[in-house]
Amino acid sequence: MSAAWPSVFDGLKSLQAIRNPVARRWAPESKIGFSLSTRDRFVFTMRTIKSLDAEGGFDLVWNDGSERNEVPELSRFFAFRNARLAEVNYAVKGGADAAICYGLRRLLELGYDFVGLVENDMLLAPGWLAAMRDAFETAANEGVVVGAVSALGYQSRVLEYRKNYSIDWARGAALVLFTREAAQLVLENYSRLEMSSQQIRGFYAEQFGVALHVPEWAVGGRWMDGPMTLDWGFAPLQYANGYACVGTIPSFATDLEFDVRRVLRTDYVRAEQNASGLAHPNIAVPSPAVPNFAFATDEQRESGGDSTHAARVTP
Amino acid sequence: MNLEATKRAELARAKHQQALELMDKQHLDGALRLFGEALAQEETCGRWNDWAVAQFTRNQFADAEQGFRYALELDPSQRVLPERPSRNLGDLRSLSHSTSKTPKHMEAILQTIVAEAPERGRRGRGIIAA
Repeated sequence: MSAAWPSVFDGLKSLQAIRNPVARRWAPESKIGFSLSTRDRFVFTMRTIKSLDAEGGFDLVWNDGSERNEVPELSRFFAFRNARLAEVNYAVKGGADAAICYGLRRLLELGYDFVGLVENDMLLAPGWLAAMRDAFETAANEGVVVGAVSALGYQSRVLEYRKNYSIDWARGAALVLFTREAAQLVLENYSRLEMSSQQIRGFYAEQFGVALHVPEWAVGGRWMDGPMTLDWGFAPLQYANGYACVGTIPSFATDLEFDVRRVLRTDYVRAEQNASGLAHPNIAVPSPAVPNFAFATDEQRESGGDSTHAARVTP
Repeated sequence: MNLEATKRAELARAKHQQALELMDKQHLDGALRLFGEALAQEETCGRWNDWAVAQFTRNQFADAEQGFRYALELDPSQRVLPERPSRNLGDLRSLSHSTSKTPKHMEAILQTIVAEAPERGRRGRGIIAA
């Protein structure tokens, strides 16, 4: 990578300078907690928890909203060997967004320094947590204030491949670890996270001068626009407040539910993409000094219908 | 295999055996619980297959499909499996034809699963039969 190459780094640093976000360090004594959301799907759940449990150094708060009794029973008899199961909550109903908010709130109440979400259709490769920590620390050592880190990386959702970490423009609830401050930000703004795909493209064009090329949003030669599930707003919210969303290179997670190549028309982040630079075309749009994107108010959102029924494209 | 792993394997085998006995008595809920406990201790292709058969038997086809697919992922060669008539694909096909509750697409799914494991398909054996 050369300093002269197109990069979002300067845009990121200027957002940080304006917003002055809290830079949290990942220390050996940092308390890390993940909220595992489950709703039936026994096979996927078993595979997810076994792969999670291949590594220790974190607590799990298991939040279940199953209709059937198999997954709740699994939570009673599964003996974690490395992870610490801190608590299990049953009848966490109300859909994905309710489960996300419940998990974030509970982990914040329990005092964790890093607050994570994981859904029960993720398969994690050994070393996933250490890789997340490495990506977080590498970015922090470059002066990036990280709000969210993940070991699940889709090529189409990377803004820029830095050396040993990626800067991502989308960070869904499938697998993410927020700093405590960033998690609080998400929770406080959750009802205002709704964005259309057009708004998301506009946000990154304006803030970073990048024209997002998202294969799953293109049909023929046209970009489709429509309401997105609320977790699409996680990353823009982070950047608008000076936090970055970073990812591991390569991806240490894969989806159990679908083939990412067929459904999302992309692939997982691979090792050979390390330090390969900007992942989308850059455009000559002058970045404003202050982010001018406003997250919709509750009133505006209510008039637009309930987005929790929209298809959850970002798992 | 270390001592802990040996203990887990023994416990899993015992639970699996109890589950099969409950299956024979048509106590599906109890069998599924014990299959689950066995799988939590130690996963095998045959164990997932039996779990999937139990799900199939109670018309939980999506779960059955996921179970069969994962069973094959664990051991595409199926060499380690005992043969049990109740786990035979032919039986599942008969079941899919004989019950009006079975969606027609389950037959196609089973065909696909078999097609993805050519060795098994050629031998005309069950989903897991060795």
